Amino acid sequence: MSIALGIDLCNDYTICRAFGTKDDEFVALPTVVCKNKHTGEWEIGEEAYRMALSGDGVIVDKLLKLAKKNGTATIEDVKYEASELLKIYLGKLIDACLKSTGQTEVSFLVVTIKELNKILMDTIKDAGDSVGIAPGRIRIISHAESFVYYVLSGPKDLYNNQVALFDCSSYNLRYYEMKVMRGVKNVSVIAEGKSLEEAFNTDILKNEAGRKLADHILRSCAEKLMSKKIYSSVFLTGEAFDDADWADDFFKFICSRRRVGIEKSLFALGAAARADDLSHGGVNFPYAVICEGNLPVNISLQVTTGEQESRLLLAGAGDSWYETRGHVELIPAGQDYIDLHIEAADKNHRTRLIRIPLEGFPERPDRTTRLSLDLSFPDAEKMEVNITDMGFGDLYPKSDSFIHEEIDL
Amino acid sequence: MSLLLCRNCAARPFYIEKADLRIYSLQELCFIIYNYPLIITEDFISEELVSWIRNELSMGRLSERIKRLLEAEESQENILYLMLREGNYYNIDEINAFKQRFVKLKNLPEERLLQATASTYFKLKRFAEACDIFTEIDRKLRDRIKKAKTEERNELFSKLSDTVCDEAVCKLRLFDDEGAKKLLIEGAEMAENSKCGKYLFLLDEKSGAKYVADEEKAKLRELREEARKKAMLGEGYKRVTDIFEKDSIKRDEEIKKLISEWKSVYRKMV
Repeated sequence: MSIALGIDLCNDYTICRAFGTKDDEFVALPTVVCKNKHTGEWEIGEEAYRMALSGDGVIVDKLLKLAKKNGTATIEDVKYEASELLKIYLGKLIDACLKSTGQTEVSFLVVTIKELNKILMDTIKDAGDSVGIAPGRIRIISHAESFVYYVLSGPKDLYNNQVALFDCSSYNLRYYEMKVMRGVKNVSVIAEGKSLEEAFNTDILKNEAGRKLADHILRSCAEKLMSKKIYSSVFLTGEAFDDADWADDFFKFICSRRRVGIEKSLFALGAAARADDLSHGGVNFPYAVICEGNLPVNISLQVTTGEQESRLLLAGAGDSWYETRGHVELIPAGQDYIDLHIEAADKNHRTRLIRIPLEGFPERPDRTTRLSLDLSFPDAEKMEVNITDMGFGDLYPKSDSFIHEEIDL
Repeated sequence: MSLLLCRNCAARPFYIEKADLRIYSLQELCFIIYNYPLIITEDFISEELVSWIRNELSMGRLSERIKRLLEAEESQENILYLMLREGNYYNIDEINAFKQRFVKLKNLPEERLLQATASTYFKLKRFAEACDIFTEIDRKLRDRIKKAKTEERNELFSKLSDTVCDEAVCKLRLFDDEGAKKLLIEGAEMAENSKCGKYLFLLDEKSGAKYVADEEKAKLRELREEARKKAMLGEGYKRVTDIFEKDSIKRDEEIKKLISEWKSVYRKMV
């Protein structure tokens, strides 16, 4: 039996949830690995800490930070790449999650991380692949995106208006907002998150003065961010809200005419919902989700098929920039350029037309040059366009000519 | 002005023997049909072509339609028109123009049809095939000359001279200068002011001098010089000069590669 998994992978703590499990059925572990000096066995999470404390092993923590910079760690004179350590961690985490649910295979895995980084994303994909989950069954999304899927998998009245989220843990205070936009042709969801300067050490919650201060900080932030807007619901996550008795004032503000929910594994739940959706072909959420990790624009070009002109979409707003590759083959007829239309999902921004002249290609009669046009995205803000000459069969063999353009989205 | 959307190319090409060409897409097939209709033989639309369209181009619907038309013994022209319409390459006006042209071609008198076919092979750089057809036209014209009345002979000799010239040009493209020269001399003797004399002069001034008027000689010399200069600006010339600027090891490798390519091109021509 297989199951869809969502993993909220953070530098300090990781939560793994299987889709469809009860509220208390999840695996939550510190993001650490430890190698046993005597047996060579690896442990993760609390077991790793125990092993290190008893002097039986060497611990490595902050695995994400290490992976982002392609770092290494030396354990007992052996150098380990961050990717290897992450593979070990994820492998054992997934095993633990499957065991806790009684399942044997992962149908789809979605990993959610706070901020997307290509090196880290490549590493996570490799790690998943090494534990038997093919790259096509792994997706990596931002916390903003998993927040969206968490909300969308709930009742509709939760998101009739704006939805807010406060994520509060030690030295980390982030605010997210999402809104469903119903257009004439389609529905899109726009979400964004930002770090707040007012982040604090959650140790202050251990005393009365600290709790009052924390309550005051959150109330001020909420007033500043949420005034003059209408919210259907507000969600809270992060260790600071494990016991939220200290936040009276804050709650008085956010609970006014809104539904409020506290969910420790919110991001993992959102990721699990998305994993389940993708394991069924991605049809449960027919929205373009515009947030960190996804393209904010539609990229298309005007083509002719059977004498009909039409707009061919090469990459859509809401598509993951990491996963998306656009490819099309074209024959220019009476023109020596390609026009790419870049249309923002946000209608306040105008459509841009980027003209790429087909310079440097061999001179041939009209309609005897077949071009391969490939798009890829090194990040959410840039697009790379490669146009390659494919010639026209044996009649006009292909040349080495190609065009490479980098375009700001 | 537009961008024609293409389906993916075939991994395995379809080989058109008459043109010695491999094609990888329906657009290329349409191009061949449209521009070189005279190489489309009676058996062109074969089971092999239908299979290729179905399996390599993944166009099952089109291949089924062609198969049904073949089974119904539909004319070849109609099947060709279907392919042109489905090819997303030519518009309806172009296809209608092709229909008219195709019908006219098929109804040409034998000699003109042969001439048109030879020109097609020449355009495809199949100079040996073109030469063979010109030789056949040559033979037919000589037969006609034998049986013709005196007043018809001048015109026939003029046509024969043109055909001989075309044969000679094919031989030149096959690097048979001597064979070409013999033909050009023969052609120049047949008719006054024929093309043969001019070509002969360009090839060998001494042999061709008596067939070209003095005022024309300067023009022909200029033409030759222009062609020479244009050739020196071409990719082929640049490639050869670049080779001789390389060090001896690289030079030998590049020379071997270039000669191999030339041999391959020559084999295709013959």
